[in-house]
Amino acid sequence: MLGGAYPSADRATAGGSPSNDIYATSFTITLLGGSGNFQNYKVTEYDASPGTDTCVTQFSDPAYIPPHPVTSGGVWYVQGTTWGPDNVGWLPASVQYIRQHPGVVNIPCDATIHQALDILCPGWPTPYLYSSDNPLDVYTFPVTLQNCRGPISNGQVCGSDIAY
Amino acid sequence: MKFSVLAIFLVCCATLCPQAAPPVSGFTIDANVSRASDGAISVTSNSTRPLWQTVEGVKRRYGWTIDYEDPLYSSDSDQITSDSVHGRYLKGGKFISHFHEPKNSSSDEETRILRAIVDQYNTQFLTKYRVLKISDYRFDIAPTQSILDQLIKIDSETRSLRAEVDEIMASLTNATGIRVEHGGLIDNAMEQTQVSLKHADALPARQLLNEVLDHAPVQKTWVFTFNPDGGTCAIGVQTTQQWIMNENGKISVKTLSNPHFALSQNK
Repeated sequence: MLGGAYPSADRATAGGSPSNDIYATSFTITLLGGSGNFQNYKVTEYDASPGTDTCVTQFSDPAYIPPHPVTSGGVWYVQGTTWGPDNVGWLPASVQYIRQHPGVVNIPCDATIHQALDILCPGWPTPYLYSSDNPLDVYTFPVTLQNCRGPISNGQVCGSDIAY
Repeated sequence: MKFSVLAIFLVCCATLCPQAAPPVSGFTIDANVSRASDGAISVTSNSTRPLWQTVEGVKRRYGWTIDYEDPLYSSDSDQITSDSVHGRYLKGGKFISHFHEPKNSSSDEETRILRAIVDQYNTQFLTKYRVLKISDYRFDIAPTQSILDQLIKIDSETRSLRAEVDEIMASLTNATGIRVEHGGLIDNAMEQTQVSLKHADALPARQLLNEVLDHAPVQKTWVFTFNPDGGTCAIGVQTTQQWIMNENGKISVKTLSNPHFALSQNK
């Protein structure tokens, strides 16, 4: 299958938080370009490059604040032109750790995952890389958090500020 | 736009906010891994958890799935120190380990290297560790006395991998009285994938944890830490990665698929 049939970009919509993860944001992704119909295509995430986290200090606990955050290897199946949810954000225990260790975690800070996305047509052997570096950012401010998707230079989409 | 707000805050904070932390101890965020011309590898770590930091460097170099576990320290342990900024923290220290590059990608070579690192650590530090081969791709670096060896019982309810890890940690908390939390960033693959453990008897928490993660589509590795500022524990789970540097110094990341994933889906 030629690349022209595949999407060339996507656009995210920020929703609320998943039910058990009040500090995370659910993004729904709409595929753009290509044939315009990607029903049941398989989207898989990878890492374009190592993640970074400016919250980390020499004293922070790596179980709560990993120095190099990574993608999960998540897989989604497209419905029409949309896929998701792509959930981004801290687990509650990490937010509690941040709140209780102000001298240990470097606030304000930004945990960044460099997500790459490929898409596979059902029955086709090789996937197509449609997004080579899609940053996922978790911003931690003194009293709020914000989860964002996409490059700052090209329409970064952010969820609401979340108080903690 | 958000970045601009963050940048302005950082600049203002650099001049206006009270300085949070004094210069410290030479601890680093990552280990330094170097290779001599004869193939000898040196890993230099300097951290509150020097063995963990060494293991992280080795994991990324070779794409190995290696889990790491802190021991439980007593509240009066001489391995814990404190200051007014950071509270109570592990003393840790500097650890330099040496080994030769693996001759091949076999688990025997991985065993050789991990044992060499742990033997060198055990001769220099009071806390003793062991290397446990869990499966053909998974190794645990565990203290000789481990909370994860605690027997626990888990029901056969079907849950997401994340919920099942939480269930194991809750059972461990109930069995030991030591609170264990699940930290890190949300992991979509662990939310998406379901598991049901079917064991009539109580089993070590370590075995159940690794069985759950063996159902993930990609290899997952964990770090289990002891927090001396409260006596609680935490587990963080992440995807195993191999970092590969090209001739221009750019690092690409390789995610490793779980060789047991298809098998676990057919059970």
